[in-house]
Amino acid sequence: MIEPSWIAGLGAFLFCIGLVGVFTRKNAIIVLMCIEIMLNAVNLNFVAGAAHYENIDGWVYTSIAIAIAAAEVAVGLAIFLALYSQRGTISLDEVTLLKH
Amino acid sequence: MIELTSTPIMLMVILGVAGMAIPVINVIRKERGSSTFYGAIAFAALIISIGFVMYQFYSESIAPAAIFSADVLVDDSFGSFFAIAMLIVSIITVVGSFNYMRNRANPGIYFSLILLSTIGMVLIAFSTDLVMLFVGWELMSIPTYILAGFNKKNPISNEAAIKYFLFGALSSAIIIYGISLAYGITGSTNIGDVIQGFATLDADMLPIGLLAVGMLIAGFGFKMGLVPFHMWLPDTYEGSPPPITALLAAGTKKAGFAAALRIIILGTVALNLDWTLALGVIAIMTMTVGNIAAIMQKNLARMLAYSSIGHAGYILIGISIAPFSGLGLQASLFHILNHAVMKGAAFIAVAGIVTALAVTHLDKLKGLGRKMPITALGLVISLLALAGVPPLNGFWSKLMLFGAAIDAGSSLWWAPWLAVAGVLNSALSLAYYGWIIRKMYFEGETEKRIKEPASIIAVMIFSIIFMVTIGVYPEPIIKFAEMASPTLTGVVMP
Amino acid sequence: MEEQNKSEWNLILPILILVSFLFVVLRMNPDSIGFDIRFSSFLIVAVPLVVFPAILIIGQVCKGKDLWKHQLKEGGIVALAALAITLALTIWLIVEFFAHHAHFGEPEEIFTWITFDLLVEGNALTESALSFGIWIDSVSLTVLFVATFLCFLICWFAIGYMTTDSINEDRNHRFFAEFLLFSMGMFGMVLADSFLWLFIFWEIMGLCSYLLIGFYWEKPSAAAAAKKAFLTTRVGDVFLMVGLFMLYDLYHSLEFAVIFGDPTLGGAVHGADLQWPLFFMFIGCVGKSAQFPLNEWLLEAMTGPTAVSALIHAATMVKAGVFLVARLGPLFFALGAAGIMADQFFEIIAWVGAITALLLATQGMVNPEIKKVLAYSTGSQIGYMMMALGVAGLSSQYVDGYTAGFFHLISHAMFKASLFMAAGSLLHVVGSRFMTDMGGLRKKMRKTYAFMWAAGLALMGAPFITTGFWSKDAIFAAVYESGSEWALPIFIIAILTAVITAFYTTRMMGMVFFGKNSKHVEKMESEGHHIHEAPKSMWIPYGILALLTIGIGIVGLSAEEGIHHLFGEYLEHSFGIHSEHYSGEVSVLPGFLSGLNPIALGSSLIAFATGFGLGYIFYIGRWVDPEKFIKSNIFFYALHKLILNRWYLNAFVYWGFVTAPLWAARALWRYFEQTAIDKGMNVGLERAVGWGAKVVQGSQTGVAQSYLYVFGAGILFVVLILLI
Repeated sequence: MIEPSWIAGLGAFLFCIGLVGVFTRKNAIIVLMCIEIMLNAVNLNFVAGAAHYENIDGWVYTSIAIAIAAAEVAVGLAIFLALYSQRGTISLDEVTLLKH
Repeated sequence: MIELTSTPIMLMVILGVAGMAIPVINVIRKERGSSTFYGAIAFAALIISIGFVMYQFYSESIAPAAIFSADVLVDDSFGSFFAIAMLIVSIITVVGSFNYMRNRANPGIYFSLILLSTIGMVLIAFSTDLVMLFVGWELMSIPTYILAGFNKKNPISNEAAIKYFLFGALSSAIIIYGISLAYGITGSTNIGDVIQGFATLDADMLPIGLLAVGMLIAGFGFKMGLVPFHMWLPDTYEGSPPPITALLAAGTKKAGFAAALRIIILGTVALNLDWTLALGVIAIMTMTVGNIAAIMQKNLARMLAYSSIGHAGYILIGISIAPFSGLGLQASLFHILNHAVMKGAAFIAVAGIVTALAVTHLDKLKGLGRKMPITALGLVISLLALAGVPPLNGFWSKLMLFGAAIDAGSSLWWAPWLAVAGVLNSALSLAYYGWIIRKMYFEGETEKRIKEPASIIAVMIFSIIFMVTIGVYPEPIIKFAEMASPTLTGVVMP
Repeated sequence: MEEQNKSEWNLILPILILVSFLFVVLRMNPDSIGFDIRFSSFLIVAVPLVVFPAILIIGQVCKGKDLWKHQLKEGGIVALAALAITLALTIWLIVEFFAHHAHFGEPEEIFTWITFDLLVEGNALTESALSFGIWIDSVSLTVLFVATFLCFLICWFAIGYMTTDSINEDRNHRFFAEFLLFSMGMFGMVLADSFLWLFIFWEIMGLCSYLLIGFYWEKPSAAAAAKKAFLTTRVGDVFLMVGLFMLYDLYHSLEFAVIFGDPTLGGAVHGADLQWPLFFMFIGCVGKSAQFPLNEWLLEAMTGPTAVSALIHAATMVKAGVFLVARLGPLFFALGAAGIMADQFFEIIAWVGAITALLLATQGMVNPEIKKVLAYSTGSQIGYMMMALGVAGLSSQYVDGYTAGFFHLISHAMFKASLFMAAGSLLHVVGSRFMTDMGGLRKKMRKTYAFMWAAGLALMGAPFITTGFWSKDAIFAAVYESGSEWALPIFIIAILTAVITAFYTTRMMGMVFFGKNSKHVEKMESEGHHIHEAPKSMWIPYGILALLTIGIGIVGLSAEEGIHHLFGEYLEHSFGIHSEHYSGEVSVLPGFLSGLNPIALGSSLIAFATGFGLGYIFYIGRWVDPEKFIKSNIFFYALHKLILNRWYLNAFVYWGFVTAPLWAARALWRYFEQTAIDKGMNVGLERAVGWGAKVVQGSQTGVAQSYLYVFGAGILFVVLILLI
């Protein structure tokens, strides 16, 4: 039997991976993917909770989180597209017009 | 089960219908509608909403601020307070955008997105469930990501949008992670249940509870513009279209405070943490960083962005001393409303300036007082109000904030330092506000007057009247804030 | 003929308004409409407040339009209507007061301005509110009646005065708006229920005084005079503010209900504590009422339009200081009667009043301008009032001096306003403000001549028929009977001043109305501008006042008794100050005068006779030429020069307040500011902040990664803090 705490632990692990990825990667799409990893970690947490408390709430929350994540990604990719068509790059190192 | 005719549901319906209808109309008319047409629809929807809230308010059917509720949404005065504030900001943004969007693409989508974002803000204010809060949060944020980058062809706008998006997505992830941890520990996402769950936590679960709260603070702090989560703010406020900056600075930032008020305070109180000191430190850092960085700015929008960071710090003063001073919380709410109008007006003035003159560099603002007198007047009054000059509304809210901080000094040794920092920072802020005012009125040769767009004039006049009236007679708003503030005194740690 | 018609309108319209409103108000049944005291007194302040911006805006928009200009006299009729309403309301209030005594003396709260919940020790919340309320008692009603009545009449006069002078064209709306604002300030001050609101309205009046004195702003003398008036009263106001702070510190509230309700605050406040606050507040009164040593501004304020001088500087604003002293006096006296006060407060008031009275009267003796003579006279008479109020506190019968002061306030307001308005007519007709340019006008300006005599006799204290006589006599009596060690010197000063007052009044009448026509007048006649009587709209207001002074004078004794009784009751009720009544003393005087003090009576008669006689000798009968008289004797010459130069007081004040500080400022600038502040603070602070800004800005590198790093650091920081 898989303990819910293990699932949560996996979730935490994935969350940290995603977090590190967000801080270190230059490519905006990769950063977005890392954020997605974090959101999936959240889903795992909800699943773990649902399993632990044995009610349906956790599953509902999971669905909600997935839907929202999808919406966010869609918007984000649209923004990246606009940026790319203007600047020809989506490397975060080079997108530095606004500073100080 | 919450009533169908209660404020949040009705607002959701009104704004949702309008927000959904506009793209449909857009398609039907094959994208030939003008910005005025769509803007008028949006404006009508917002006016109906705010009329509804006012009506509810005056017919005495609004409960005082509720903390616990079995429902997902609760119709109380805390929510109504924020709903009114957000709706005012949205109205200001929409009216200010009439002129801004005149010759730009996709006006219909623009107004529709503003309406949808407003729904999100309203839902945040009324929610008593963590996931509902999150849904509202996302509903508010996602349209604003798009709106921030609305000038597709402008690389600066793109950059603003991408930075905002990445930060926003990151903090959304962090928030939902915190929520999931809270759910995991307590088995429910209703705020009341979460608090009780935190209060009766096992000792080995405590670090996870802390982690959850920390995540929530970080996530909400991003939107509120607290240091050290503020890095995105100057760039985004500078790069977005100015009316959207008004929405961001005045609307979404306040929604962040609403969310924080509902959750963080209560959660951390139940966990018996000494979080007041933490928030106090953050408040001082935020004020200082915001005001110091603003001084050397040359771009008007950026300067106002840093000033927004500073004001988030002032608001946080009241929140950080909340368990010891009901006045502090009231003062924070009052300042939230005031700042929403002041900053909104300021950014709409910037919108007017950008549209008419296409400049935001401070040196190019010379002689604005004569070129665009009403816009300049609106900008001046909002700057003076932000600085806290009587008899404008900013003075009263700052007075209450600092007074509450000093009063709380009897229970918290470090509270008067908040007031000291606040006062010093207010003085500092006068420096750069004064700079703008000087450039506008006292420099530059006499210029010819150019025609100011009617929508901008309307917003300026409304805000001037608001600021001066509240400045002279703040009593009704103070009473409203008092009713809206959840009572925390008494929920003090042992 | 059109001129005639317009003048008729000027007469009929205000009377109609007043009469109809009075009729409506008195016929109304208060209960059915809910038109109660609170509401009506609120209206007294609210009506001018609402109307004055209306006049200002409409005047700006409708400038030059015929209806506005001629029918409405550029807002004059509107202002007059507003003032008629307030007058009617005041009369109604007075009627109510005499009918239902019980309501009064209690504060009625109108609305709450701000409420603060202040956290006091131990997490308890106390509510402290700044609210605006109304406080009505006999003192405020008396002054309110004087104020509303005079504002109304002077506005009537002003309509005629301002609109028939072409230099005022198209800017009278400003005048009437400011006039109304001032009226509102006065009414509000009188009705206020806390020292805070009293002060706020006090300041509003000061502002309007500045605006109205400087009405002819293109004249540099007017602008300078306005500035001087404002700054001088400001000095007083600063002290008043400090006094208010100290008062607040003692009582933790500025409301009359709290302070007058229990002056000792249950034993917490002693008379000695009150000394400094009340003294500072008295300095505020000194400034506002142009007493020594802050008296210089009143004189130069005469450059404003005469209607302004009549209203502000004769009838109402300068009385504000007296009003405040009247409010404070019983407080202090009550504490004294309870055995814990010092006499010095009242001694200072009495002496300041006495010195001012004498000082300004002497200056009035020699001045050639008619308005300036009246200005000096005003200051001097207010000195009398202060004297009375001060002496009241020194005697055991507080109510005597109090009554005397108030009675003189009422009568002085009436006859001085009348004199000023008449002077306005003279200025208007002759076109010059110098009395030496007038002369022999009594044949041509009969009505003005008659009215000025009536009011002038009141000023002099002509026996038995003028109210001035009764009020002055009351003051003399109060001074004489006060039983203080200073009574005799003050009494002598008072008598001496009365002599001089009679003298300069007679001098004024003589120079203006008697003798030959001056060269100026002859020149005017030759050019075709004939000397004529003033238009009806101008002489009716001061005619009414002049007749009133005589009228009240005739019933003077009973008027005095009535006021005595009224205030006695007020002092008893509010402060527990007892007054004893004379019990069957045998008096040397004939029957109807038996209540008076014989020495005071005799002295005032002698003073009147002396002064009038001297004046007659010099100016009316012209038996001796004043010019020769002055030059005949080196002593007189020197004295004359001294007095003419206002005892060099102005130079002194200028040196003290302007030259010396400027010198000190320059020195400070050179030695301190340029070195320490400029180099040290300005440059140093600038560098520090600039460095800070660079550091913070430097962190905004523009690279998203670095931002995110900071974000992550932030999360860590928050979690760590929470863990600790």
